[in-house]
Amino acid sequence: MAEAPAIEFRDAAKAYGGRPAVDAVSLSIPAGQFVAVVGASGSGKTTLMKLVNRLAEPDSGTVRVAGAEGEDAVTLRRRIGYVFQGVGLFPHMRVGENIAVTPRLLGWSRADIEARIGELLDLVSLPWSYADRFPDQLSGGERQRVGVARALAARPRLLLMDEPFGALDPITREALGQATRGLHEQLGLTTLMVTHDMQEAVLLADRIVVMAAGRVLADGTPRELLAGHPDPAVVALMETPARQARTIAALMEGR
Amino acid sequence: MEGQVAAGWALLPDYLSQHVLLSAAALGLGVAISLPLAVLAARNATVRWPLLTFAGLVQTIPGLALLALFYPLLLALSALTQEAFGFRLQALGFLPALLALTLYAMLPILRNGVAGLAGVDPAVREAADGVGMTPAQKLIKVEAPLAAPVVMAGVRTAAVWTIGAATLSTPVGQTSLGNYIFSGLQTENWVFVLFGCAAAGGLALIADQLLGLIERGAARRQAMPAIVGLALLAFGVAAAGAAPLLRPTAPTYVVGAKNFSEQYILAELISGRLAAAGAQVGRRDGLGSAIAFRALEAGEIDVYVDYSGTLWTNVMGRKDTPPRAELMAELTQWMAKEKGVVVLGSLGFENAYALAMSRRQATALGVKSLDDLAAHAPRLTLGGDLEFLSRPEWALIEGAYGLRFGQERSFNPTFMYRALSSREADVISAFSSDGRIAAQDLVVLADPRGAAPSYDAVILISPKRAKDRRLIGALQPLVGRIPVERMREANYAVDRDEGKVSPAEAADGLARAVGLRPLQAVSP
Repeated sequence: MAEAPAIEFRDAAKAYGGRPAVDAVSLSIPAGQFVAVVGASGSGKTTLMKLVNRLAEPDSGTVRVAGAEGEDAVTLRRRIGYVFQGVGLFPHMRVGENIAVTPRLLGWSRADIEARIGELLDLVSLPWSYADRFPDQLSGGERQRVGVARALAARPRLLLMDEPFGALDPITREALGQATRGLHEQLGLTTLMVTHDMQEAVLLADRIVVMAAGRVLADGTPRELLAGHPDPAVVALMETPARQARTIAALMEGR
Repeated sequence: MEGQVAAGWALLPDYLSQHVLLSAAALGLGVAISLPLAVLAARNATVRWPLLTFAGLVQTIPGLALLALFYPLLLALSALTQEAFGFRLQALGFLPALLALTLYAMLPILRNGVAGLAGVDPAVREAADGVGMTPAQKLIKVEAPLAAPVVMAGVRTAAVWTIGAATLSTPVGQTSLGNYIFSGLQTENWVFVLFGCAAAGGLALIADQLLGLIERGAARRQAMPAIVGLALLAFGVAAAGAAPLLRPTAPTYVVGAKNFSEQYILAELISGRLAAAGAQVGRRDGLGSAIAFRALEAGEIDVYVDYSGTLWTNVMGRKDTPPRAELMAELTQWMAKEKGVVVLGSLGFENAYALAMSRRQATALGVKSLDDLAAHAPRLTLGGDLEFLSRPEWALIEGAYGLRFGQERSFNPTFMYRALSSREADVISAFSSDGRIAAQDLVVLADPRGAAPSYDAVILISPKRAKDRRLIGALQPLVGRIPVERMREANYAVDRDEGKVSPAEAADGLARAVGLRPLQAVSP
């Protein structure tokens, strides 16, 4: 018997003020997959993600998270790691307190929490001394690492990331992307990442879901989508990383 | 001058400690009420508007009026609780002052609370939801600490306002630093007025700085300044709370005084005699005219001096003006029967509301009586004390003589006499026992039609002291003892600009002048 999907959307729909943000989406995400959701601003990709941890409730249809049947939203969220757009660290808490926030809500012992903070700082390659700093004493990349550490603190099986690396310089962005992919493998996570950067999606994800106007426009592996698609909009989107790759290759060959 | 400063210092522990306790209680209650309301208002737009509008509206009511409004309100409530539960709320003193100041403290806390909560970054708020906080955890762990600096700024504003407005609680019978200001204003003791202002200002400054420490601690996430600020504030309030314990014992009797020099002097005289009889005496000074009688009726003060005509028209609601002796007899009987209040007797002089003008102008216009005045009135300005123009006595005089003044203005009694010298008023509502009538060479206009009732100064005793032998025994010798000339002298000693004395000294002088035992160990 096949394992139940980690996340399953069935005809899920959500509208804000009469305008559909997610329009009857059905998607099944198996455990262990790294899925990138791409699309332009307003395509509904962030709303799709919020339906998973119930920051948004569907108007119709269902969204199932494996093992969360009958759970209330607060309990569910404590089991899901969430990396926020614009980081969303608590500015009045030190790095250590930020990382420990969900374990503390879950009532972990003080010793377990202390040990976990150290583990996570190691995991995201930050020195332990950072635990006593406030977020505004860190660089953008360091803050984002803390954001990832906080999301993983309570050992979730499921990681949601909303434009996690959007505001970073290209080098930091690349490095953090690779590090996150590494953590995904190492911890056996199911990861859903929203991004508008097609190149990032192609390089990190097992599967890309393209959204436009609240609907799924295309859904496939990076290789499949790069090879071509009946929808010209999808082709245009995939053309960008492909063209960049060709240009770089040409430069390297000295033509 | 030095004597006045020394007198000021002597009163400071009592006034300051009461002021601190009142302000702290009002601020604490204001915070306790406003913070939950601010949370509610920040979450719910439908309550936000009415709440902030209400708080803003309260702020537009002058402080003095707000305080005065709580008195009748509490009096009515007190009657209800008496009926329902058998106890009376205190309508005078601490409670009305506390409630009014609490309302006053609410606006800045409420407004800053709403602004502080609304100012929390929506991304941070969503992050709190996202990591799995319940709404209560989000409020306590995220929203409250982030809004704290803005909220504390509101608390600081409220503290400064409350400490300032608390000086206005003197007329509702709550001792505060305002006692300096109100009594100083009445007796033209500018040292006292300045003393009160400086003390209230200094207190506000200190409270503001200590709350500022807490605000800084909250803003910089440092515990130390906040702890220091809180500890010092707590220490100050505790010290104020402990101050009454240092006073010997609770007063046996409470003597009331309305807000003018004669009342202060007579209250000193009464207090002095009660003290000589071995009683502990408390004071409620600077009471409004109507408040004083109600307070006596309710037993919140035990004794004070009022005037027969005032009681006749204002309390009994009578419009006729019988001869002096008849009025006294009927008043005494009515008070005993209807209110249980004892009219111990007249002190021996009248302090009538009379219209007066400068001798020069009266001679120039040929005005000797109110009849003569009527013809000139449209070209003249009438200056009344703060209550005169709305009192029934004025309506009686105005109606009887058809007086239509060109302009009518209200003054604080002290400034009313000045207005006459500076020609801002041509005719004033003088008091017949006032020393300034002789000193400023004023003419008291005759009332040939007997429109105004007589105003014998009478000692009133509260229903619960009606049979108190010690009280009555101590005060009985005052009845019929004080001629109007002696009272005028005593009043003038306090009211004059040069070589003025304190009401206590004037009371001592009055006692000696009328052959009573000199007062000793009276408050300065």
